[in-house]
Amino acid sequence: MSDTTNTMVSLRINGKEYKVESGTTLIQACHNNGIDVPHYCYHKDLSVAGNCRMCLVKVEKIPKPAIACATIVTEGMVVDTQAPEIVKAREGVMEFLLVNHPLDCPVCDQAGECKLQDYSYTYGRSVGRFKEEKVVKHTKDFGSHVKYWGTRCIVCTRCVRFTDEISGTQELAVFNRGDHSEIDIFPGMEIENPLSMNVVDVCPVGALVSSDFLYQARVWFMEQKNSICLECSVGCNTRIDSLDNEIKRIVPRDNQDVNKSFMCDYGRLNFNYVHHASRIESPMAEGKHISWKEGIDLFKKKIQDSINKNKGKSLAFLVSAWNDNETLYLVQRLTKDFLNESDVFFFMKEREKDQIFPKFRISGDRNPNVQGIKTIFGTDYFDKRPVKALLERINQGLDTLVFLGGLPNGKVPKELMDDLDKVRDTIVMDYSHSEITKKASLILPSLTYMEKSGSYINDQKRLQRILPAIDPIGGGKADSIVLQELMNALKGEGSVLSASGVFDQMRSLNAFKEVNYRAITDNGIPIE
Amino acid sequence: MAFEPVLLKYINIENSEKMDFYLSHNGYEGAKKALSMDPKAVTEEVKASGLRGRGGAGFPTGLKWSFIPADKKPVYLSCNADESEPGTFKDRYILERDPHELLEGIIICCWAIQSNQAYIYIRGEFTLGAKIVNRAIKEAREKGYIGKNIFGKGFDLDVFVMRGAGAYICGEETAQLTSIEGSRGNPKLKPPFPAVVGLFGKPTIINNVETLANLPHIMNKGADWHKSFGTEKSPGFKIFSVSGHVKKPGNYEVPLGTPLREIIYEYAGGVLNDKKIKAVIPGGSSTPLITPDQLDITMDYESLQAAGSMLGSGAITVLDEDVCMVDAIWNLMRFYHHESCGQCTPCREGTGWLEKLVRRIKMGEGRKEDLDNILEICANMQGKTICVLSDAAAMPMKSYLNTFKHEFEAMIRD
Repeated sequence: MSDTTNTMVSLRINGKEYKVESGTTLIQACHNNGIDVPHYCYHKDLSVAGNCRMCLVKVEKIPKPAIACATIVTEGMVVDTQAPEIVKAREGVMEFLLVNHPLDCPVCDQAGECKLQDYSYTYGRSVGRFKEEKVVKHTKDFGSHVKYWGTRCIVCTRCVRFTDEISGTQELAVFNRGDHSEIDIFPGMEIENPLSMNVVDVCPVGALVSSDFLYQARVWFMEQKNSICLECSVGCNTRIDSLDNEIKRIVPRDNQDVNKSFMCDYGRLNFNYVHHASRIESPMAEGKHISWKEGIDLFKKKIQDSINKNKGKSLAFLVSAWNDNETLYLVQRLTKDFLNESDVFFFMKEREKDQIFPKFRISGDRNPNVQGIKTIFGTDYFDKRPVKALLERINQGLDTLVFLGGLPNGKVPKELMDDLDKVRDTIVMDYSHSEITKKASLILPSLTYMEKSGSYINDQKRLQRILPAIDPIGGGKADSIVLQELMNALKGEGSVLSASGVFDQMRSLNAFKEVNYRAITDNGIPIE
Repeated sequence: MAFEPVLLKYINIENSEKMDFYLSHNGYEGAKKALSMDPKAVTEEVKASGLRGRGGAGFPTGLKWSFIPADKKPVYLSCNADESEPGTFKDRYILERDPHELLEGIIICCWAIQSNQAYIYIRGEFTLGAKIVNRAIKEAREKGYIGKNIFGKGFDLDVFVMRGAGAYICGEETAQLTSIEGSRGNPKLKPPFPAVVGLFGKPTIINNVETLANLPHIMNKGADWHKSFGTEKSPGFKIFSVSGHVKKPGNYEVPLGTPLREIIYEYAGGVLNDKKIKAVIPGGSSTPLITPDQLDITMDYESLQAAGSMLGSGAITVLDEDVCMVDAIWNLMRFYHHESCGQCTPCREGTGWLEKLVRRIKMGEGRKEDLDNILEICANMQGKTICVLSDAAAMPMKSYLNTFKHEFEAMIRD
């Protein structure tokens, strides 16, 4: 939009002067300056359709009310978003929208986050004047994750535009005409693309709902916490919604520099492992539950024994690319201060094919923090220490292995398992039981990213934060806390810092020198 | 009744649709003359003639052409032959009985706007018209009037017939373009206007059949000749499709400014069974009514506008004293409800609501508050949508209700 020119245009909105970039639309100018303009069909990441007629505003010298979404700002434009005739026009639109709407809010999944409800509050009538028979439209599964309630649909075409422009999969279209218009899938098609559930998010009303979330919770009872998705290296910004400490759904959160307003279905749906029965409840030694104090003491003893016996040469760390920066940094500190620095190895999920859509990317790198490892340990260091290198080390004789997992569903590198018996002692820090916990002499339960704080770096070198969305399930502790407790035990003193405290120490690294943890905010910041 | 038809002069003669016949009375001379002129001079001539669009809006044709940007190519012409305003059947006559008059007009227009590609968008129901136009295109191609290097003047022009599928909305300029592009015929947002961003994103002129049929005559006889007919602001002549309760329904070509009374009583033979007139729809179903006391109104753009109505497409429908106005408007509301594309909220929901309301009143189930509600619904529909279909539905609704309120009230039982 601003590639031709980025000159500024001044205009007057509701009596106040504003300067905005030329080429922007009136609705953008208003929204960027905190002026609310109600809208349904307008979506900042989709093309302009101009069909809902809710964003009407009064523009001087334009005889009829203009739609703010399709009106480009011009120098000296005088705009009134709240003129009496505009309010009346919006009330008219609101009434029309509800003429054939079932008004079934009590049983509608969208209730509480529905634009029809929101604007009814401002522009709605208290008494309906429509006494005729309503048009009834179909209810249908559009795919395994998306359900359509035709009667609730306001035909804003956001979903159609999403499949046209963002996913490029084009399963949806408007069928029939006039007040019989409805959204449907093309014959023989289903909406089964990896981005399918975004149509649920873009739907401003309860017409498209998620089959997975359907009737799971009333949205106003849920806790909403900002987070990021770790399912690939893109790091989509998300919001995690939970009820009674149980995650109910994950939805994308707007970040124009990362994921716009979208995310893939895989990231959205993969959270059941958080509540899975395989979660480790407490520290365990030789199959027996022990307390955290006993766990840390044993951890310390095992490390010290290994150091004393082999002068640091026979202890190695295997760390996944799912760990947060703070954990990675503490592993580095631990090995630097107490162990041989060269003893950290890394494992990752196998690379898959990138999935590129017209306006969205799912990375084939299914690990959230490869960039974090490279930033903290250095790219060279990282490249030279894959699992293969560890296996060589094991075959040369390895006494103790400390495993820091963190992959959903207890995934561990297959090739390691064959050689693991050659290692005398395995210590596992992970949150679910897995093949490797069976062979561990000490298990220290950790937390999923939804239960802890920390930071990650995506493949575009953007530093992003995670925050606890729910209270820890079971008896786990964040790895960064456990590592500090261990280091304090080894030193015989020291305090345990929060993620932000650890990050402050991390500023000794060049990449983070200029970064203030509190300034990362909800949208992250680019580094380097 | 001294006026001799120009556009419809030959339509009752056998074989009037054939090339040989057309050439036998100076056919394609206007096109030859235009192609020997500078394209800009052709536009100027049309501007000077004062010709206004005959599709309904009455926009000055030459002025419309001059909006085509000089530096954007290609340029397209879409000839609007989607004649679907209820009561209108004038273009159909030209398509079926004098297609070469239209083709010659298309050639002149394309030369003026320097377009090498014209589409004739013919409504789905006009099967015969489409067949005849296609045959005429074939004849013109064989003569070298269409195709490469037409008339040996180094100018290429291709003309294709596009068929509509029966949607009223495809007569709307931008919906027509969407339809030609192969999509569902939904109107597009304006601006940008088609003259700048039109068909396939290129500058496009959309002209009505009758408008284009005027061009050969203007080229042959000059702008001043054209201006010698009609009124100052509405020069020329116009085909009026007269239907309803008249003795001789049909197409009558008269100079603009001819009194409505003359068209009904002299051309169309008066009211059927010599009954009284209750109301007249002057310019197609969406135009507000003319009442019997206004019959002396002259049929030109400015007079009808002053009377609160519109000349529109020139479809005059006479309603006699026995017509139930509630029934009549219900019929129209059913039409607009059926034809709304459904994009914009006010039109999508408003047209259906109005139909249901009027039907309920017609069935004797009306309530007192219905009449006020109708007027408010109309107000909420007007001027708030992408295209004017919403206005086209609200305008007659308001007119019928305001003019014949007693008939509505009589049908409401309390």
